[in-house]
Amino acid sequence: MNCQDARRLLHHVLDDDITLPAKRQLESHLQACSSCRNVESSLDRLTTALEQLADVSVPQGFTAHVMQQLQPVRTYTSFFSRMRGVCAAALLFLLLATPVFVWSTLSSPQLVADDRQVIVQEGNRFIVPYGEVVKGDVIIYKGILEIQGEVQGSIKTVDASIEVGPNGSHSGVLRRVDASPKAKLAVALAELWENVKCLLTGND
Amino acid sequence: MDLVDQKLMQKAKRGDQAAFAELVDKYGDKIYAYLYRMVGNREDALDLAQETFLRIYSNLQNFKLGQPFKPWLYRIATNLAIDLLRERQPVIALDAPLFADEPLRLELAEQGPGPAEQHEQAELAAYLAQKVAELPANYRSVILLRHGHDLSYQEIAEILQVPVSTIKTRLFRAREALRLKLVEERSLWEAECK
Ligand SMILES: [Zn+2]
Repeated sequence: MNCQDARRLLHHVLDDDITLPAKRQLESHLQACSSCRNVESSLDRLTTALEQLADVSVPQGFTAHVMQQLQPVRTYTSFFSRMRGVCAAALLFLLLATPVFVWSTLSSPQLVADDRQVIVQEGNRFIVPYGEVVKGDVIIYKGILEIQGEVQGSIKTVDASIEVGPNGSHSGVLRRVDASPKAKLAVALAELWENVKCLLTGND
Repeated sequence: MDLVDQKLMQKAKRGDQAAFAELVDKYGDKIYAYLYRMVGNREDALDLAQETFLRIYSNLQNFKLGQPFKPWLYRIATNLAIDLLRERQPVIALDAPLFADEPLRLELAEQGPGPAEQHEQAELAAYLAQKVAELPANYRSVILLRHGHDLSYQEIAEILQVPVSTIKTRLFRAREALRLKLVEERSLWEAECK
């Protein structure tokens, strides 16, 4: 092994990119060659110093600052995790108090989505118009979801179907669920939550 | 694959902000340090570090569980850094020599161990930081990602979207160039002390 090969291999050692026989050969070269030993030690000094360059701390409060800037994301599941908290009792009360509402909810097509405002409803048809992008998750109950634009989130259908237009696309996960009582209840709850939220915030 | 990251991302995707905060906490220092060395000043580094995590957050739904998190994070940070550097200097000569007028000298005679061994580590790091800052950005990112941020060849290749062989070449050249700078610095230092 000549010095040039040895010096190349010294770099490979740093990346654990060397075979055992090559490593043995390198070691015996190093024993015989003081100039390559010097290269080895200067490489060691270099990598130690480079690692020190990563020892920089971000200013205090960084995480809190990032968290403050986040837009709240409401997803299907986060709705349920919130359910476990204080809202659970209040929602349950509302649910029990409004059996008629639940019944009417279940008898007509429903769509629950974070980006509800970009989706157009025509009868039992929910349309994602051409050029629109739905980033979050979508749950559709009964009816038809017509995708002319783009849906990036996951789609869950409960007794519903999906039609994708020539320019439409869907990149998320698709799950089909039979209208089991549990699924119906989930849709009803989600819809109820939407309505409660509208009442509380006063926007539609 | 870091299973803790996967768990946290799974929770974050479901809207669990506390899990996301844990990820920011875990990688905040490293990403800031990386960006600081990439762009050269703390103010820009801080802005970009924040932007990195905000982008992660707004792209949570595009992250597929099972995909390694760390390279994804560094990829976003790297792209932001490169964009800023491009803004500052619109034309970057990609194959310019590492240090303008100095070709690599692999056969340079080595100095034996001397008083430079006592050279303050901090001083050495400061000198090295300067030299790293002078590297072209595409060499700088490779050397930083490999040393101090513990990413593998494959992960770096993924982050920078170039073949592994290119990563190996850049690492070798950048390390040799920096090593020679250190050796050179040490001989100057020794000469001054005589
Ligand atoms: Zn040798």
